Amino acid sequence: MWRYVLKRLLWFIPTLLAVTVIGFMLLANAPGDPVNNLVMSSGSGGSLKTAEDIEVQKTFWRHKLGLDLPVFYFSIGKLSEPDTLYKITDQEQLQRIKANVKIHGGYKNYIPKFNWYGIHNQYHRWLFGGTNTQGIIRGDFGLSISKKEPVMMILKDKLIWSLFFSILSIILAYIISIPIGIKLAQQPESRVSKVTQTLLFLLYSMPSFFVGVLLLMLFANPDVISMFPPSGIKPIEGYDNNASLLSKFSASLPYIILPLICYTYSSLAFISRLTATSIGQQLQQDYIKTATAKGLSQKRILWKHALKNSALPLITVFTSVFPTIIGGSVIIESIFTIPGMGLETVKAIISQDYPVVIAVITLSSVLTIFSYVLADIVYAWIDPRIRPSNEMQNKF
Amino acid sequence: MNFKQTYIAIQSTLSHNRVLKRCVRVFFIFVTIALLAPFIANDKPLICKYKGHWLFPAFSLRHYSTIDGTVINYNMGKDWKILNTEVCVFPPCSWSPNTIDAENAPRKSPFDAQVITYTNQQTVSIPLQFRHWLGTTQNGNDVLSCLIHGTQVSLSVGIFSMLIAALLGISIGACAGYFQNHTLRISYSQVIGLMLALFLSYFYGIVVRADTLANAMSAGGLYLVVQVLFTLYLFVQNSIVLLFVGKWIDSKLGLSPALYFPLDSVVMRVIEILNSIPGLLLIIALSAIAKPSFGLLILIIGFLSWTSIARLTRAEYLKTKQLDYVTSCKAIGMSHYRIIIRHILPNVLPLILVQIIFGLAGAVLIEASLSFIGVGVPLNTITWGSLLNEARDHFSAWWLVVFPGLCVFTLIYIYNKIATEISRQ
Repeated sequence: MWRYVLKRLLWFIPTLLAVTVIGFMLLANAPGDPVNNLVMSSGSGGSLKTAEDIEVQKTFWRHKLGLDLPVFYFSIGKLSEPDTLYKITDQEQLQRIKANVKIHGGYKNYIPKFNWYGIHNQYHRWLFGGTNTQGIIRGDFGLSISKKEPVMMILKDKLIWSLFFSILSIILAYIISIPIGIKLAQQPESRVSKVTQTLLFLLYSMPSFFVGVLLLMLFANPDVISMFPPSGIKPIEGYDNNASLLSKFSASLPYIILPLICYTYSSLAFISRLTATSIGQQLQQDYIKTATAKGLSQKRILWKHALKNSALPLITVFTSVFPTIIGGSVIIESIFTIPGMGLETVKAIISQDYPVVIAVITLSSVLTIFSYVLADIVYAWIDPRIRPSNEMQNKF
Repeated sequence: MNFKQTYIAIQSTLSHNRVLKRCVRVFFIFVTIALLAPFIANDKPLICKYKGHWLFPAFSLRHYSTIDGTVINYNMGKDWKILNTEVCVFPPCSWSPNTIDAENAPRKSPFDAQVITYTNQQTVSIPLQFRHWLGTTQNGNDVLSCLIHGTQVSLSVGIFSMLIAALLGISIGACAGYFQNHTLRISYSQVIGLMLALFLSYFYGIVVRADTLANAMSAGGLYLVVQVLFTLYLFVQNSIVLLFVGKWIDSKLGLSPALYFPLDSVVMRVIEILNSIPGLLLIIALSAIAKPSFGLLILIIGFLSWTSIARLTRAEYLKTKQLDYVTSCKAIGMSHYRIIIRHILPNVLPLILVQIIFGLAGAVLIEASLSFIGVGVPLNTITWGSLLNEARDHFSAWWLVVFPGLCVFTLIYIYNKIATEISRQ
């Protein structure tokens, strides 16, 4: 068992690295000059700055953000280009030099050259930390360009809301759909279960934004029924200063209900259908007949014996539900203006704040990979037959 | 089973399952609407007679025509309706999605009074033929015609992205499932060749073509698709060429392949990485780098969603590989690729088809969601999602919620239903 867990965790590392490389490549290729945006937007107290001042500030920020380093451990460039091009910080100058090289390079433009830079590069600094940064392995995603705060500070609250909704909705979905699934498996041909199945299938095909807007239109609309507040997550005046967690929750409850319905409804059909089929398969097995023959109650057989043995597919679902909830939260959060990661990403895209965007993508990828690993381990823990298959190959 | 028998099997499923038949029929109605959209909803008349000349504006590729020295601009929008024509036959919906009807502008409901002003300055209630049957948007676009033209976007994004995903997924998944880790042999010189190919194609495909790619990024559209695919083609071509070069060197030196290529592990790792990246967020982030276009959207959805198809294909190949008929194929000395394509594929195709159709529903959902939040899609095209977006600030405009929402819902429902019905067989 421990060997399997260790092996799985070791495989976790290259996958994580690959995800961070993808995130960083997006960040490095983002258009616009982050330093330019930083310096230009920080008009300090209306004092007019001279061109020299701006240059000094730019150099200062470049050094502080580590943008005067090479991008990656190595680069593949043209033979005609010098390998120290990264030292030129001014984008316009860089473009001019590149254009010149392209004109006068001749055949050398078409011969590749491999440059090795070592660990003093932007990616290494971004990942493991360096001067002025802790690196993302210690949770430092750099500075937000528009707000000039550490990205992690901005995202910390947002992450809590996103996780709150996704975890609560998954739990809710399981609580509602497992009993439904068991009922469906018990009488698959009855009229009630057929109607339920059709309804669930219809719900499953409803796009979440449609349901969200529909709910808002019906229940948060002064013209129809004004039962719930249309947006936000807590009362406008905020919580009381020393309110307990429970009272905070009850104050937010009317704000939470509509988004929660939106988050939950689509996984209902999926999970209950899966429960129904996997329990249906279990009910055909001999051990169920034995249990019935022994005189166990129907309830006990279903909930204790059959459900336990059909738990495996339900765990697999968890891994597929989790990422969709993180990705799907962009839509629901922007409908209900929930201050979560999704809404923050959309805002950041509009204000061209790439460090935030990349942080969100990297964070959610890491969370997803983590959920895969967790599921694999739980899988192996519940069903010992899965484990040895890996070790068996080594033995024989 | 060969491909013809698979086709016959799918046909017989279709003819025996009433629900499935109905769903496929509705799908073809959607396709017909998408294909004929310019002739179903257009502000130009199909046929009209003006000053004694017969004109066919809706069918014409030109945007003007000259009659007696006066130029008639075909893109005159609402003015066609008040033009003094002798005969004029309009399409069933007499509006184009981009025609702005300023008179009925800020969100007229289907039941509101709608007006039209004729050339003699007389404002009257609009004739039934020109009515906005499903209301208008904020700017005065006709909702019905936006829905009809939106069908094109939704269907084509789904179908083309899944075409890419199916090609990638089936070929990669089949190879991974069939060869696994201990079948494909590779020599040291081929490993070196492969690395060299990666290096060279990165240089010639990306570094040398950096300017072209950057231009394509800002231009968007089909040009971008072609450029990206060309770069990918360079990668594939170089790898294949250098693999053969490695093989040739081996044969000259008398070496035999010494290593196993762990294809299955590599593919599974790549799938895990791609699955962990939230697709919607990635598209949103990429839209900031490249100019949003439906071509780019199709590419990204295609390259992100092949993983589920590949996983299923791999699992099916793993199962089928152990059956007797594959063993006998091997025994008579058939090549691997013939077994993979001609013998196993027809047997597993119906199952993969189910996954592809589920993928279609997913792609439609992604496109509609992106248009709904208004990021990552070109904003000048009105789609189902962007119509819904207009209703977000005005809940009283129920027609902007219900009709586009029902369209998206119907399409997704049909895809899901077809997939489930096929998989039930």
